[in-house]
Amino acid sequence: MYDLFSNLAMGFGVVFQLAPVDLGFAIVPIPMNVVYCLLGALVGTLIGVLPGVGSVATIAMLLPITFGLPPTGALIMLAGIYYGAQYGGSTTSILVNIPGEATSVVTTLDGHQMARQGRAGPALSIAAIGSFAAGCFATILVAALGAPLTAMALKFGPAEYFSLMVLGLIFAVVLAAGSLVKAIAMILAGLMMSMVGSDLESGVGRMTFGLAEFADGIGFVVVAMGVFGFAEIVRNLEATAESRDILHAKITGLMPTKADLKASAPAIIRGTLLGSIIGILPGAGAVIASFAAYTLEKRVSKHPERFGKGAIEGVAGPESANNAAAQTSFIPLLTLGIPPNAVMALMVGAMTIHGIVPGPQVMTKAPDLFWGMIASMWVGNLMLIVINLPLVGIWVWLLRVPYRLLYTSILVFCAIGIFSINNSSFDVVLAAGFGVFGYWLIKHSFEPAPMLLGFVLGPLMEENLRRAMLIARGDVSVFFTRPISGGLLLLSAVLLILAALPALRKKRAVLVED
Amino acid sequence: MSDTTQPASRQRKLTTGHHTLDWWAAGTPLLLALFAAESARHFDPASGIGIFQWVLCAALAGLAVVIIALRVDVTNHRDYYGGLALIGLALLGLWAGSDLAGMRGFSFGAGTAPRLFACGLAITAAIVTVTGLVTEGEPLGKYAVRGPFFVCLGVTAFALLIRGVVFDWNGATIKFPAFGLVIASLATFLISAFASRETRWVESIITSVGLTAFCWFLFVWMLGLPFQIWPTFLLAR
Repeated sequence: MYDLFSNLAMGFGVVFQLAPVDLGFAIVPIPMNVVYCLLGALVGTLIGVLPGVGSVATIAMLLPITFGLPPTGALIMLAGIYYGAQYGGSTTSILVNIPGEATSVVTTLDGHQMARQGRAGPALSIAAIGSFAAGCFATILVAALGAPLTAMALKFGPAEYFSLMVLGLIFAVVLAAGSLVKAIAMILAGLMMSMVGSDLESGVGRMTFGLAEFADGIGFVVVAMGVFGFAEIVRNLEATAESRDILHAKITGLMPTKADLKASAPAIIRGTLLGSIIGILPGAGAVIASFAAYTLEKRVSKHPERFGKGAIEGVAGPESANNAAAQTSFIPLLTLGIPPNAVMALMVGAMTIHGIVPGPQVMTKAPDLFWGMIASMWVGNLMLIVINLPLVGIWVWLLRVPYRLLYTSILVFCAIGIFSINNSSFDVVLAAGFGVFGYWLIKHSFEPAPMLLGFVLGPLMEENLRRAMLIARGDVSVFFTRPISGGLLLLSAVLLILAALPALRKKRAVLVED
Repeated sequence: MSDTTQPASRQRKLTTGHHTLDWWAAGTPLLLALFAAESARHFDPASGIGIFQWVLCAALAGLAVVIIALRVDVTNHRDYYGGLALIGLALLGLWAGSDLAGMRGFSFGAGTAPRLFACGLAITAAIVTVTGLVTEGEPLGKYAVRGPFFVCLGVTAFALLIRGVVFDWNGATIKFPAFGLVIASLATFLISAFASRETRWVESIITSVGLTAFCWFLFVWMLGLPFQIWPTFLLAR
C-alpha cells in the first residue's frame, strides 16, 4: 500500500514537473506534461465528437506530431486522446443521436431520449461524472496491478509469452463481432503479413517480392491508417448525406437532481467494475465494455421497460464502463508489453518510435514514464470533467462542419502523417492499397481489428515461439507441460469452445449486436 | 455497431441442380488452383508443405468441378468469395516466401513461421469458403467506384508530388520531380474532393488553401519536420 502511494506520488511529481519554456519574451517554467495531457484530452474529445473519425486513425495520424516531444510527454498526450475520445463520444450521442465513437453507440439509446425530454443537461453531467468516477478507480487499479503483474511477467519464459499472446488473440476472436472463423482468418492474415521484411535471425528478406521498400517490413501505421482511416472514409462516402438533427434547444440546468444521482450511483459502480475487468482482458476494449454494461443495467433493473425511453442508468453504466475499460487496457501493455486492442497496438508503435520497448522492464527502467503516464490519466480525467461541460456548445457547433470538408482534410493529414514517419512515398501508396483492402473487408463482413492485432503481435509471437522451441530442443509439448503456459493455452481452448457452443453463440451475437 | 454486423447466417441445405451455371463461382477456385500449382512447384513434393499445397490445389480444382457439374448455387457470396480471396492471399504468401529456408533440425528457419501462418490462413479461409456454400447470407453490397478511386488517386498524388519519385523499369527511367508540401496537399485535397457528390468547389478551394497553410504552420513551423515546401526545381530557373 505504501509503495502504491509513493509510486503515485512520483507519478504526479512527473506530471507537474516544471520545465523552462522559452516563450520568446521570457523563459517561463511551465508544467509541460500537464499541457500535453490537456492537448491530448482536447484532441481526443474533438475526434470523439466528430463521427467518422475514430481514435485508431487519429492516434496514427498524430504519431508524427509527437516525434519532437520527450517520450513521457508524447505518451501522456496519446493516452489523453484515447480516453478523451470516450468523453467526446457521449456528448454527440446524447445531443445529436450520432455516436461519435463506436464506444458510445449504446449511449444514444437512453441519452438522446433524455435530451428529447429536455434533460440533456443531467444526461451530459451524469456521463461526465460516471466517466470521472470510472477514471479515478481505473487509475488506482492500473497503479495497484502494475507492480504485481510486472513481477509475474518477469518470471515468464518464451513459452509463457507465446501462450499469453495466443490467449490474447483468442479473446480478440471471441469478442469480435460476427463469425468466429472469419475473425480467426483475419488474425492469421495479420500474422502472415507481419512476417514481411527481414528475418530477425538470418537477416534474409522475407516475402519482399524483391522490393527494397519491403525490407523493413510493412509499417503498422500504414496498415492501421489504411484499414481504419481510408476504408472508413470510403465507406462513409457511400452513405448518402445524413440528416443531423442538431438539438437547437438550449441546454439548461446541467446539474442532475438528487433522484438522478441516487439512481445512477449504483450503475456507475457496476459499470466501472465491469469495464475495468473487460478492459484488462486482451482483445476486448471499450466497445464491448459499454455494450456489456448496458445489458447488465437492463438485466438488474427493476423496471427494464424504462430502458430506451430515457433511463439515466442506461447512460451512467455504459459511459462509466467505456472509460474504465479504455484506461485498464493499458495494464497488459504496460506490464506485459502485449497490446490488448488496436489502439494499444498503436501505443506500442509510439513507444518503439521513442525508443522504449514495451514490457515489464518499462517499470524498472523508466519508472518516471510508467508512473507519470498513470498519474496523467487521473489528471486528464479531472481536466476533462472541468473543461467539457462548459465547452459542450463548441463541440455541438463543430458537428456542423460538413463531412465533404472533413474527409478531405483528414486525407491530407493522414498522407502527411504516413509520409513523415519514414519519409517514404511508398508507404503512402501502400496505405492507399490497404484502404482498398479494408473496404473489401467491410464489404465481405470481415472485422479489421483482429487483423491489426495479429499484425502487431506477429513478430513477437514468432520470436517467442522460435526461442521456446530452441530451448526445448524442438519439443512442442513444452507449451503444454509448463504450468503457466499450459494453463493459458487451456484457458484459450475453453474460451474458444465456449464461444463456439450454440447456446453461447446466440448470447454473444445478442451482446455484440443488441 | 449493429448495422455493420450481419445477422447470424441461417443454416440451409446445399442447393444443386436446376440452376444456371455460375461462371464466377467456378472460375475463381479454378484460377486459384492454378496459382496453388505454380506455388507448389517451388517445394519438394514429399515435404509437408509441398503435400499441403498440392492437396489445396486439388481441393480447389475439385470445388470448381463440383460447382460446374452439380450447378451449385452460391448462397452466401460474402463468405464464399471472402474465403477464396483469403486463400489467394495465403497462396501469395507461400509463393512469395518459397525461397526461404525451412526447419533445420529443431531450429526455425526464416520461412517456418510465415509458412505456419500462411497454412493456418489457408485452412481457416477454406472453412469460410465452405460456409459460403452451406449458409445463407446477405448479398454482396454494391461496390462504390467513385469514392475509393478518387481517395486512392488523391493519396497517390501526394506520394508522387511530395518527394519526387524515380521509376526504374527495365533500364527506362522516369523521373518525377519533387513539388513539395504545398502543391502536394492542395492536390490531395482537391483530387479527393471529387470522391464526394456533395462537394462545392468554392468552399473546397478556400478550405484547401487554409488547410495547406495550417499544415505548413503545424508540421514545418511548429514541429520542424524536414519537408520540401515549394517546387524548387521550378523556382531555380
